[in-house]
Amino acid sequence: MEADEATSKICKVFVPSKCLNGDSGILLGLKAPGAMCVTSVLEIPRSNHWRSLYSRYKQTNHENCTCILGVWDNRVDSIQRNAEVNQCLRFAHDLQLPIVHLRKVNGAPQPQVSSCGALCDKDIVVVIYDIDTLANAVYLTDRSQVKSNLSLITNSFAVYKETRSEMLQWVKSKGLTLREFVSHQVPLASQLQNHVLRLFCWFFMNLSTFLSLLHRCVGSLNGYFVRLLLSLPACLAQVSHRYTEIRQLASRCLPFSKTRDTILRLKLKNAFWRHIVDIILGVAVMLWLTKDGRSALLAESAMTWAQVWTDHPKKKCTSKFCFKQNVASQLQELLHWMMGAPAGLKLNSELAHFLGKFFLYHIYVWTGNILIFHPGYLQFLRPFWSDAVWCIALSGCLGLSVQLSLVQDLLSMMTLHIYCFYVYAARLYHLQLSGLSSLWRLFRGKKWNSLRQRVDSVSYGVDQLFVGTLLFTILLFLLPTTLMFYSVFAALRSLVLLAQASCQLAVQIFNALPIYSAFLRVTRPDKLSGKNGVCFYHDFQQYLCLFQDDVLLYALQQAPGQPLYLAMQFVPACWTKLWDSSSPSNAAPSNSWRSLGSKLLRAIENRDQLIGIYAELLHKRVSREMETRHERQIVQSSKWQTYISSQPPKALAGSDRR
Amino acid sequence: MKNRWRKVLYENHDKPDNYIDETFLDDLKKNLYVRKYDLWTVIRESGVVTQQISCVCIFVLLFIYMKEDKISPQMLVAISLATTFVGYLFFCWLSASELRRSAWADLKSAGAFLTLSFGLSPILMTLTSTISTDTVYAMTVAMLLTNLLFHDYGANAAIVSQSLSLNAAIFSAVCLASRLPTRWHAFATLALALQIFALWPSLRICLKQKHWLNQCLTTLLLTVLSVVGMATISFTGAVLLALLHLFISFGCSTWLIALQPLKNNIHGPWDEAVISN
Repeated sequence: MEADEATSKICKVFVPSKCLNGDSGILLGLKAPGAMCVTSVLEIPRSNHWRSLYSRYKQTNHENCTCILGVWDNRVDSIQRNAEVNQCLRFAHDLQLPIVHLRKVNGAPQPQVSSCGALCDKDIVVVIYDIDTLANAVYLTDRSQVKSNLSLITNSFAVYKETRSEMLQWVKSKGLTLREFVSHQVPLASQLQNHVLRLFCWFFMNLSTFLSLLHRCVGSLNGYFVRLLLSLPACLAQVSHRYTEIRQLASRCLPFSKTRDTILRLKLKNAFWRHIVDIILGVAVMLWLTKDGRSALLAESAMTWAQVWTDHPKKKCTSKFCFKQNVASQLQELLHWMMGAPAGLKLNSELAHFLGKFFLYHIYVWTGNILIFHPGYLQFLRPFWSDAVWCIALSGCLGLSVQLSLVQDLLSMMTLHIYCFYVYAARLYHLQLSGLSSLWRLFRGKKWNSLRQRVDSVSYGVDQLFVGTLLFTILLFLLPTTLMFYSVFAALRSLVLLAQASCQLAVQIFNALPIYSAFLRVTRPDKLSGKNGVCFYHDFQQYLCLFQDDVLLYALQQAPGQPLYLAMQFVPACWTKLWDSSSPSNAAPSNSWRSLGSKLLRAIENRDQLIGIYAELLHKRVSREMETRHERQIVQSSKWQTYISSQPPKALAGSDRR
Repeated sequence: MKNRWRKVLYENHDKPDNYIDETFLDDLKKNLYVRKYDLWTVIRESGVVTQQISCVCIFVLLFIYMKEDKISPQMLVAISLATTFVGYLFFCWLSASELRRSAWADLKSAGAFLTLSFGLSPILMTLTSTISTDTVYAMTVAMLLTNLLFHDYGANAAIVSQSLSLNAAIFSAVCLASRLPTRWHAFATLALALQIFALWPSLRICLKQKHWLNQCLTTLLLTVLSVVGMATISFTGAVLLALLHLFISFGCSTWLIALQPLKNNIHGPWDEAVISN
């Protein structure tokens, strides 16, 4: 309530800093409730032109209309000019025109303000800002207070731009001069970039129409199949994700010159540059891989790593990529260890032997045995393998992220046996667990009533009890063995999934990388605003003070009759904010380590879900660290605020610095 | 005397609030529905507990005999099959008039028991082979105590759970079976457990319903059997077991009767309404 009252008493006058250096004149601009924005300064006309000026630019209730806001009085000017200013003021006083009178104190650059008419009972706050940085910047802010101030400024200048030619014509006809604050020349580099972006958008829209035609042809066959094909391998998913993102942005931005949404344009530029950088990096990796037959070498060593039987067991791999031990033989060792008494656990040796033999056979099927001419999965894969690595290298043309996704796919191909082990063990364990839970109810003479969703007691027959208890006992005593196999294979699978998840996380980070914004932030930090957008600085007692809303402005308005001078300055974006603005907002279900643990314990298998969980958990960890770092910064800046607000506000005007 | 004090709250008696008349406790009655116990009936009924304890003892004794090779498992299976058959005939004869399952259903159940336990006996034999014998024995003891605790002795209490007691007994049988060397041993243990813990109680209830003398005879028979069997293993154990039987049958019964005069249930108009019939 008080705050509303406070803000209603305030009238903010936004004055570009360029205005303060020029001659005296009439301030023209836009008026909004509780605020004014000066867009240009008109040379003071002779008294016979006053009527027409007044009739043309009088203050109305109609918004988006340029009008007379006040008088700028630079006392350095000649005495004749001062007389003109005084005449203007008198005229305005006669017409009861509510205008502000900004006056430069002789010598000092600080303007003085005195208001006439309806503005008399209001507290004038003069906000001085740099129009070049404020109007051209992109604002990532979400504060309405800041937004309303900024939108007033940008809107004023947009209106000014629309009516500029008409106004110039009028001014010229009267023989006056108009001082402007914004230049209407677009730099060559940004023009070029806009052209390229327009071409890019146009290309993507055409591609999307072509693809939608193709999709309609293919989709008539089987939509589900196509969707599955697009989503299952990570590389195809990545390509389609990249394509969809750019297409959406392009379709929203296509009437390119008319789009006023700066954030959308920033996103499009980000996507464009990300794509370019992705391709450049991908091609670099491709060149590195294809040189000197490195891809073949890599393929060979990866194969050796995965396989136990090589073509020539005597031939030693001498390259630096060679791994001394390979996965298959280590897995065999692990299985033999588990068939004994691993870690002194009292397992059921019969079941352990049975399961161990079962899994050993899988490794046999996996690797094959060249000595008895038994082809395994890897033998089958071998002829295509170096081609596959070659394909990875070539996919650099599509970008580094696609390459990484392909690596992820190949990793899941190479570890198919671990996946199989995990699935068998998980199925067995899950089956046993569910059997035990229902038999435990039978053991206590209860049963699950699925109609009422609760446990009821029931009287079983003797034969049911006997069979149930027999099975319960057997399952209970076999559980540790199954659990051991399951946990070992789940750990192995988790390792593979973690590797895949880190690949996917890298791709995700790359997909959200705000390259263009970061570039802007480094080269032109005044082009990109931060979370607070802008802040108002007021210097008194040589301290910089930060205010973000009008209530605080009112609180500063202690000295009666004195206007408040604030410099509106630009707050460059912090890095985390850049990240947030560019990353796509995805409302994924929140995952924690606990939910992951319960999923693993109950052996609920879903590959994509698990990879997603791992990636998200890794990401959470990274972003939490970034957040804490950012919070530390905020705390430091708020220390300033509390220190300043504890100082008594006095000596508001008359400070030397600005 | 016109304003006689009455036990109503809505009348003004010009008396203090805590005033109590001499007629206040006229409606109080004591021990209205108390059951009168007869010593010999109590002793006879306590035979159920003694019988169950004896059964558990006999089961353990037969296991020990098998373990020490005093009795071959095939022999034991034959004996238990024969006694089961005889018992089944008895059961049929006793409960002929009542509603009961058909002989075909019984045969199916028996077939299921035999095939399942015989088929699973190789697994049972090695099930707990890596677990220490002490652990297995501790589990067995715990399960047999559970069986004794939750057994349906005819009392109508919340703790009684026939399925839990039977399951605990079978669990202990499986535990013991894995301590024996061959599959026949495992099968014999399971068959014995089934006979003693599942089939015998139903026959016993039938016998008891037929005539009260049956109860005395079976109690006596089982007690003597368990004590004599125990004597072949350990004399001290036999003496302790006999003392336990005597204590439960006579000591506890006399104790119960002796405690009866201490019973003090009060009844009055403040009681909840009891729906009689």
